[in-house]
Amino acid sequence: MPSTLQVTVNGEPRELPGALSVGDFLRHLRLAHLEGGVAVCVNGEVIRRADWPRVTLHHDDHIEIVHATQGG
Amino acid sequence: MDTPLKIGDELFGSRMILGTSKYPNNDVLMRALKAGGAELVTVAIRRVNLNDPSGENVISLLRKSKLRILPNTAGCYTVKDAVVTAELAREALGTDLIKLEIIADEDTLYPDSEKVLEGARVLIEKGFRVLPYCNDDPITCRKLEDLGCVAVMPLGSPIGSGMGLLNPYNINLIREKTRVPLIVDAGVGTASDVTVAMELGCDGVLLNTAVARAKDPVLMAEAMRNAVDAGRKAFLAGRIPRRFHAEASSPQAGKIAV
Repeated sequence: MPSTLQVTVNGEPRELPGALSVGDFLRHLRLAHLEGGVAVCVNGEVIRRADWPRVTLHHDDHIEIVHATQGG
Repeated sequence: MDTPLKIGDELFGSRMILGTSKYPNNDVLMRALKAGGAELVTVAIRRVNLNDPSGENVISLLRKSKLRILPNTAGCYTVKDAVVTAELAREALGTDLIKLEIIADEDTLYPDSEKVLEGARVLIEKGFRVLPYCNDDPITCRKLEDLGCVAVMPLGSPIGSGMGLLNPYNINLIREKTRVPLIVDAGVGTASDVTVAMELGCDGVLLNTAVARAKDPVLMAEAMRNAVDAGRKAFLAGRIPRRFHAEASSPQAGKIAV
């Protein structure tokens, strides 16, 4: 059982120090200040905000972290 | 006296929805939105830049100005991408309004009608209030309305082209059959295009490039606002029918004979 996990975040490979929850992962990425306006999906499934503390990330997960930006 | 624009159960005093993209900077954007009198503005959903997440997010500016936000699914080519994008938008912004956009190719950015219909069906089932960007095709618009979309938004011409309403006859046909708000989305180049759309009885217009890429976006936003107002009033006032021959304005009786 490896202590670090390899995941893909917004198309880039990343290494996690362990099996973090989605919420802990956002803090790990220093995105906590954006939490109000971001949304997360893991392997194509949107993780509701209320579930962030409970959902744990796994090796090889594909994670998308998005927010709203200028658009037409 | 005009009534407000009603989308779903939300009322809007302004009949112009403005995009927030392509402005020279956020200051010009915010001044243009104010000059245009916009109450509903569109945004896109994109990846957070993990290497520089600190930049000021435009959403906080929009919220501070009490603007209501309509996220889009711009850039989606598949139903799956559009549905996930809509779900992410709902989660990030706390709104179930979605401008559904599923395009077929990048040269025309034309909507893929088959996928737009399927995407609308799935999203409505998931509780979204869907405003679909669609072709100016009365049949597609009717099907979208029948599915339960809260508005239909046919294009005037391709996105960003500035060519105006290429098929006003179709917009007219769509107007005759549509009971939900009819909003022309895309193709507007200048104020007269907006006026034509409103004179045809459209309930509103959605524009972005024509304002954002004008030499003076703030002044153009004001022009567009006046154009919406002029076209709407002309529609409500009821224009005279077109005729092939002249009809004198001054009385025919009482002319002198010398």
